[in-house]
Amino acid sequence: MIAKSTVKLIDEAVIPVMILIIAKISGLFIVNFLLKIDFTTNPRGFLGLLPSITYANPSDYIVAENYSNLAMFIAVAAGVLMVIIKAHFLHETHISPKFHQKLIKLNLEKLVSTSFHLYHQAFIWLVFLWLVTIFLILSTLSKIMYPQISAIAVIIALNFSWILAVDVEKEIEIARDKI
Amino acid sequence: MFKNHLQNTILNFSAVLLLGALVATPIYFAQNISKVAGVKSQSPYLLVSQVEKFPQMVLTQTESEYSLSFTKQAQKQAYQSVFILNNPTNEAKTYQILNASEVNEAFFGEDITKIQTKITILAQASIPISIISMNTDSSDTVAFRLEAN
Repeated sequence: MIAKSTVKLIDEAVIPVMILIIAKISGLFIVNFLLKIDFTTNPRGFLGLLPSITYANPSDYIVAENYSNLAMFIAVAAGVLMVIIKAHFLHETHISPKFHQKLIKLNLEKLVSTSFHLYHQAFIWLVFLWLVTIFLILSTLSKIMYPQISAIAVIIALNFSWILAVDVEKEIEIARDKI
Repeated sequence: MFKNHLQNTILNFSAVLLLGALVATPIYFAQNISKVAGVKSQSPYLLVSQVEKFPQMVLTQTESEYSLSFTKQAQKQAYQSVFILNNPTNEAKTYQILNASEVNEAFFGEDITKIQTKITILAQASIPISIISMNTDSSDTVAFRLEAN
């Protein structure tokens, strides 16, 4: 038997992976289209299987990378924000009774999440948030990303991590009170 | 009992590996999906000079433009294998010599009856470059540029 937590983490990781990849591709194509950047597609440039995009001009590459990585960061930050909202307002252990009643009336009780579901989801999104942030920092050090974007990413990642930590703390307090 | 325990360990290990691969996928993808031409690729050719084998021949180079000045022993003269062109890449490449003059030419190979200025070379293979001077002057210059496609 595979550990329940591992299965849940794999389950929760699939959608963020797809969202991040779609955000990166969409970011690249939107930037290429809006800024009219010339590029060529190499049919088997990525892992010898998938198409990749090649820019003739290094400055075009830097612009496309910056905006597409920013799109990826916005996607991951939106994911974490969704988890934060769920953790604060739709968390089974500390949802306001009035709000819970309203949700039941509207047949939206499914929106209320258990700690098991929420914390696995939060863990996966936080891992992606920090991985993308580290990726942005490394890209900045390689002089590809603008440092402003990385700085903002670090600030957002720190704040979101802190807000989630506050929720975990609240959860621990509730568990302690029950004992 | 032992078999069950081993099976569990293998299953859990595989699950953790799968999770790790899933987590690494978007970052790997983001890093490799776009490239800038030339930055991550190697040089399209390697040109080895053998000019020192030819007395009174001087080579000058400006980027991919090469110029050879020499004193001839005969009116019309060819010099074989002045350079060796190597394709260091992992794919076949087509190279072209763009000569500055139509009288004096640099060409691929060593056969003066079959002058080739465009050739496809297989990965990691080499070909000599020779020059021919049709000018009647006692000293001459052959200038050419190399292009890889």
